Amino acid sequence: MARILKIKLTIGIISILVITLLQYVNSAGFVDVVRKRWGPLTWEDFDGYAPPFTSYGAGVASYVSFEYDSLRGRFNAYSFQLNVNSWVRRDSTGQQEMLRHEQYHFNISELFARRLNAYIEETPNCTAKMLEWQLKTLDVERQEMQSAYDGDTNHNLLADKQRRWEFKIDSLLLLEEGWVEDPYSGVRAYFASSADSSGGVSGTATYRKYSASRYGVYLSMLAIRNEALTPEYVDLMARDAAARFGATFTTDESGDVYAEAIYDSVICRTRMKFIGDIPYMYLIHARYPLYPDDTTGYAEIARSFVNSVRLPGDN
Amino acid sequence: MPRPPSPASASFDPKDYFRTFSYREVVTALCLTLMLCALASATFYCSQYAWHAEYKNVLLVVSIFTAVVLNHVFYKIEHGRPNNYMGRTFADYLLFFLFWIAAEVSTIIVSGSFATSKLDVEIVPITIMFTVLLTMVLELTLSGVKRLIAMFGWHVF
Repeated sequence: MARILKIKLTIGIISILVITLLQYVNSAGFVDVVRKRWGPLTWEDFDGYAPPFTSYGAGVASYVSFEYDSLRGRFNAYSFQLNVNSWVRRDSTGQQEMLRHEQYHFNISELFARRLNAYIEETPNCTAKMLEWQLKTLDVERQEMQSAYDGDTNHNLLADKQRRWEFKIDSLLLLEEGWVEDPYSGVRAYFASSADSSGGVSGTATYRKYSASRYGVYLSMLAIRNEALTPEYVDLMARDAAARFGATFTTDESGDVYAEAIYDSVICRTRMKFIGDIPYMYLIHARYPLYPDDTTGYAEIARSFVNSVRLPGDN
Repeated sequence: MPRPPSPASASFDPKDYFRTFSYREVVTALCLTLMLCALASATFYCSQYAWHAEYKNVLLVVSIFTAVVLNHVFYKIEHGRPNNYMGRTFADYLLFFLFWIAAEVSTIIVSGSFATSKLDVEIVPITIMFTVLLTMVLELTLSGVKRLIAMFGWHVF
């Protein structure tokens, strides 16, 4: 056989071997492919082989796709996780924090599936081709967001940034459902999760408290109805807080008292408002851990929560 | 007695290429198609590494250039003469056509369904035109490279 033909055949045979080997690895040894729809992940969903020379403990492969729903007569976008391309190292399977990080990668994909569904809602006559184009555009954004998530959290090594991203992704997924509202006084705050509620009577005051411990931050909102409350009393409290904690306080033109104290790892905001003739006082409180490392991620969650509070009449 | 230099128009005459066209060109194109498929699979596999996004375009260009140049190198060795401009361009068309077929077939095999084929009838003419023009530009570039390395007495294709 001519030498050149041998070279060509060698290239062909090596190429076939490489293709087969990579196909074997990509399909995790030809195991059954499972496209898991969005939901909680477990390590059992990770069947893929870890890529060689990687310094990471796990990787999740999540995507967005769409299908035609013949019952509803329209397209439906969904996110899914692929078992054969999701992998975990054996020594990492006990680490729930790592699984949580991968879960939020999946949640980001779900976020973009919902955006594609929003596009389908807005465009009732959209075709599969239009959706493919839209999906391509969204996929670029999705990849950017996945990279930003990994970059900011340094692949889950920065706990405070990880929590900040969890808060952000949950907020984007929950949207309006993340609000907790006190039905009596009308005050609402964005917890990005459900909140425990309690209430009672103390002297002349009735109070209701909503609180949640999530993302490493304690968040609470207290609404106090007290006929004996006067702006002067709240002003006095605010001044006291200012003296003790270096708080800032203002009294706006409408007479509503607004005070805010920031000390160590606590943001505490006090507001008083007359709803009708009834004086209400609101204490909004966010406490986050003070570690020697960076805590800016926690502080941002706390600030975001405190700023989210809306009293009746607020814009 | 040295051969008189061929006129410039000879570079645009694909007659020599088609006159000597045989199974050897098809085998070369097939083997290089397989090589391109293997490189594409490797590039896809590497997409899980952080460096991939930065270098994927470089990998793509290097892969295509390697396949195209090898195509011409094999031609020169087998025929004992270099292919001319139009001949090289037609050899590239054969290579790209086979690669496109392989990509379509592998998509169908991997997904197990004809529905996943990315063949879009509406953009086929544009794609063909774009490929034809891009190949001609690529071969013009290679002609420049060929002349450049010939100055050092290196006649590889």
